[in-house]
Amino acid sequence: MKTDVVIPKLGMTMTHGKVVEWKVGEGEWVDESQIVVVIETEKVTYEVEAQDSGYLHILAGPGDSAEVAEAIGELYTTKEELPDPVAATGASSGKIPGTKPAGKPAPAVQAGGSAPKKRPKGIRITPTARKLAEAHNLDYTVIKGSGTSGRINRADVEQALAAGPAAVAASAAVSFDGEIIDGKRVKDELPLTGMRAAVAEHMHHSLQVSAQLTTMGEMDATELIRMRNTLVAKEAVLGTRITYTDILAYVVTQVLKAVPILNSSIIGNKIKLWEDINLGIAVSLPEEQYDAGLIVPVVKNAERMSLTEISIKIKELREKAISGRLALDDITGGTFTISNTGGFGKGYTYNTPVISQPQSAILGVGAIVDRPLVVNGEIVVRPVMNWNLTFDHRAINGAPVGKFLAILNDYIENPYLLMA
Amino acid sequence: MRELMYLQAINEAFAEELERDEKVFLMGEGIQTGTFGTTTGLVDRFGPDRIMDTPISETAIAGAAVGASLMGYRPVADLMFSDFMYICADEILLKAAQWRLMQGGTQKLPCVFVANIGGYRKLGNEHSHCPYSMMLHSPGLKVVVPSTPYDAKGLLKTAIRDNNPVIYLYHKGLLPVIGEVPKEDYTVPFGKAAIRREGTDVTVVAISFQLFWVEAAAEMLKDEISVEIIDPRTLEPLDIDTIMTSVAKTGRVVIVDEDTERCGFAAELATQIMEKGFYDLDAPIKRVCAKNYPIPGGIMEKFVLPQPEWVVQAIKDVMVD
Amino acid sequence: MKFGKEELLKLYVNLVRTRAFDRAAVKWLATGKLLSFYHPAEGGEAPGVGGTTFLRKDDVISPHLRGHGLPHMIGKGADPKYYLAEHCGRSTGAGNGLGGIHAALDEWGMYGGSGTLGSCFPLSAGWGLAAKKNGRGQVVVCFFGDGTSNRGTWHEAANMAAVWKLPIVWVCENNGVAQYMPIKDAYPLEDLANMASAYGMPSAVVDGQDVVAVAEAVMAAVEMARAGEGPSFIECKTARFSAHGIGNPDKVHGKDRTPEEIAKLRERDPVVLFRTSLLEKGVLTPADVERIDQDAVDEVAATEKFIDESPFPDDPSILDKALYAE
Repeated sequence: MKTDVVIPKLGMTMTHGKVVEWKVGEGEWVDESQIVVVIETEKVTYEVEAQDSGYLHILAGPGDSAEVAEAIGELYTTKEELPDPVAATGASSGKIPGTKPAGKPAPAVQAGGSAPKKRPKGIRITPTARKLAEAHNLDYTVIKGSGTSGRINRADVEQALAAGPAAVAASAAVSFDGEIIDGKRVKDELPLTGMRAAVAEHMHHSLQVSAQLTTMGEMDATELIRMRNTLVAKEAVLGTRITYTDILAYVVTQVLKAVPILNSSIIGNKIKLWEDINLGIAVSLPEEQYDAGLIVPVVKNAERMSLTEISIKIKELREKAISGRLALDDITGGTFTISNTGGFGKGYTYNTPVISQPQSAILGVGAIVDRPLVVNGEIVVRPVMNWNLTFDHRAINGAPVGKFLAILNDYIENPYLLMA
Repeated sequence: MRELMYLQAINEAFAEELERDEKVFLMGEGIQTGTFGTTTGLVDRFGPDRIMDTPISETAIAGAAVGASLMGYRPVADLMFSDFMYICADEILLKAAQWRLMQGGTQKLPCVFVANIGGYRKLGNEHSHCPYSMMLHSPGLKVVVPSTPYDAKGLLKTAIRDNNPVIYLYHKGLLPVIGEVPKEDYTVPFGKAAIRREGTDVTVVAISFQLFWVEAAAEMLKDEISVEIIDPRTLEPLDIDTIMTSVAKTGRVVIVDEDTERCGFAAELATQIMEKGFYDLDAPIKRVCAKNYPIPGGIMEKFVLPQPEWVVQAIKDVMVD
Repeated sequence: MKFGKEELLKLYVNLVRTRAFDRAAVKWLATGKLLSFYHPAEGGEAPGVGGTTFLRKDDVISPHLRGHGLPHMIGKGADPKYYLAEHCGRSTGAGNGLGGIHAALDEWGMYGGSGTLGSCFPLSAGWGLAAKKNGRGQVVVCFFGDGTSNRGTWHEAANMAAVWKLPIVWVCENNGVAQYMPIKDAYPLEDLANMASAYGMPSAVVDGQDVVAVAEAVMAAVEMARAGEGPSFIECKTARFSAHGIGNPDKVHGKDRTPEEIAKLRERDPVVLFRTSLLEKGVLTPADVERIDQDAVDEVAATEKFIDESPFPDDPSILDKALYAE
């Protein structure tokens, strides 16, 4: 008797999942409801419970993709029924469209070596010289060859080895045992899979399908700061510490009510103006070695929420994002996105944020910095927040954008208007 | 030790083997007289039934050698000039080479085909060939190319004692060369190359007569280049291991072979070295061979057959490649 | 030599067996059991059978192409099944599966066959030389066709054999046509035996359809050679009843041999002629004829069974063992 362990359908649009880790080993017993495997969808990881008990037979290993409802494992009632283990396939060629498996770095050459690695293009070197260089992890690409047509021969390599690391470094021949592509040495590599691949694909797709342009400007943040400080002082009362992002989310929601075409999507040959204002709030995930992930959880129906509610919600979503517990519904259904890059520092100001499809606009704001402004004919120093609004010119013309920005600027510079 | 000329060493080998085994006999045109001295005097000792003068009939001589060897005799067919082997190519390359396997692999054909090779006497294209690549291309034949009097005697004895067809090729230019030749019975095994000179910079493989120019070149260049000289002695079986050990040491190779360059033994050896020791090579392999022309007679011979200067230049060139 | 009843019967049985095996070979080629190609002997069996039936076991023969040596090896006394197994590609064959159409039967004085017609001449000279050196009266009988005698190797070997007085009987099976070439356009004289005198050899021309005539002439020559008197030349005028080889058109100079021509040749069928003669003489009875025919049928059937039960070779290591002798 056997039951399948399948990729569960976690969201309406989900088509594939990838096996991340089996929690139970091949041939081991699994109890019903026990977590048996962790899978990953485009942006979410998920622990799958066993639907039955039995001895586990693994069909798809870590890195393998499968379609929703496809069996990735089997549970057998008796040990005798267990088939032989399937050979590990490792990183598959990926059934997820747009996913490319990672290339593996070339293995280090053993001393006294067997067949050396592929010779970089354009380098002329004799076979024995290459074997010798690779056995000593010497980057021969920077050696000047004394042979015909600049061919590097064994004596050249012996000389380079004898000259020692200083001379080698002087001629930029650093000992390097990694991969070399087109003469460039590879420091490290990151897989373009999972969330990263999804973001990459989405960004590219967005730029391809829409007519995006970005209008940029600044707003005087004096009143914004004052308002925020006031609200922060009342943290205990509100039950949440209000942030600039929270305020922006609330304000933008009100502006969108006034200029609904910025809260729309092109579907087929129609521009759908949404009743719901679902704000995507860009969240930067904890920094890893080289990068920090990006995810955009959605505050659903912000049009019904108070500033406090929005603040609480954003915190909750940010928490979930950082701990990797966002559900699929948390990251889908947005109608407008806000990206506050203030946290990245003063340098990150003017930029052209990319619209999150199928939305029609995205507002990015930068850090608040002091700038000289002209107020009443005089140059004064004011705290200034810059904004970058990218909109899809297929759905929206300049006029509504101008209106949106005018109202946004008004609210930010005169928050009391929000009450009116 | 006693010294003999190369041709005398051959004569002595014949005499000893004729004495040793009554099944051995020689056939050839004018061998009782002995055009080159290699068979002179043998008839006085062994009689005309064992030293048989034949009509000018290469196909009959070679074919009869094959036939007689099938019936337990050990005939030596002396074809005089290896160029004439083309006349009885069927008998040597198809019959002798292939008969054993063709008939089921149980018969023995202990026959030897002897002839001289080589030029430098302005004899022209029909008395100057070194056709051993043709023989090598017919599996079933062993091919022997002695370069010293010691090897001439030892290899001929091994050839006559071998139970397979052997082509024994002696070089005209080596006939008067003097060297140490033991009086006693000794043999030189097939498939064992001789390292004529040890060196570290370049491996030079020299066949037959070319050995002497290579030795002279090595001596001349000794202050600049350390030359290692390998003399294969037998081309089939070939001692490729000794050659490869040398290549691993030096990384550079020059093959000196008097035969025509195109599809010659040097081409075969170069390919084997590339296949077996690609990662030991520090430069492309060089060949010094006869150029791809019919060998001209007279003065023009020197523009086709390998010359000593070509050998020196090739060794120098391979070092700077 | 004297031809009593026993000798005549022996000749007859060999002829009948030869005919049966020759026809079987034709059939087996058509079914794919026999590999490569086949040149039927039908019509030309008598020179091979007549020329070998009374030889010593240690006499050496070189069979001609006709019937791929079946008339010769059957006459010599060898069991053709090993040759035929080889021809069918089996590992039990005389060539261990390596020879194909070539195969030696050293024990019976057959040291192997060549694919090139005319190679037989220098080889026979070598065999004759060895026979002479052996000094025990061995004789070499070399069979060849009219076309084959055009080779240069014939002249060199004939000359060498004559001048060295080698114990060789050269038997020419002249059936008038070499594949598509009539001998009259390949040699200027009517009788190929004329070539013998050029080398000082005695010669004879006999009716190649009369197996007794052949046997008489060849054995006389064999006795001469055995006595050390040197080589001789026997020309057998014989016939080829079908094309040179299976699958070849039966043409001469591009034109078909006519049914009338063939019918005329078939009037002198060596088996029929001999049977008739022996029946007339009372050497054979009709019952004998039937029995001998049936024996031949049975022998062919047994050979076929042996072949069918023999495996094909599939071990490439036999090549290494076969390349060089120890």
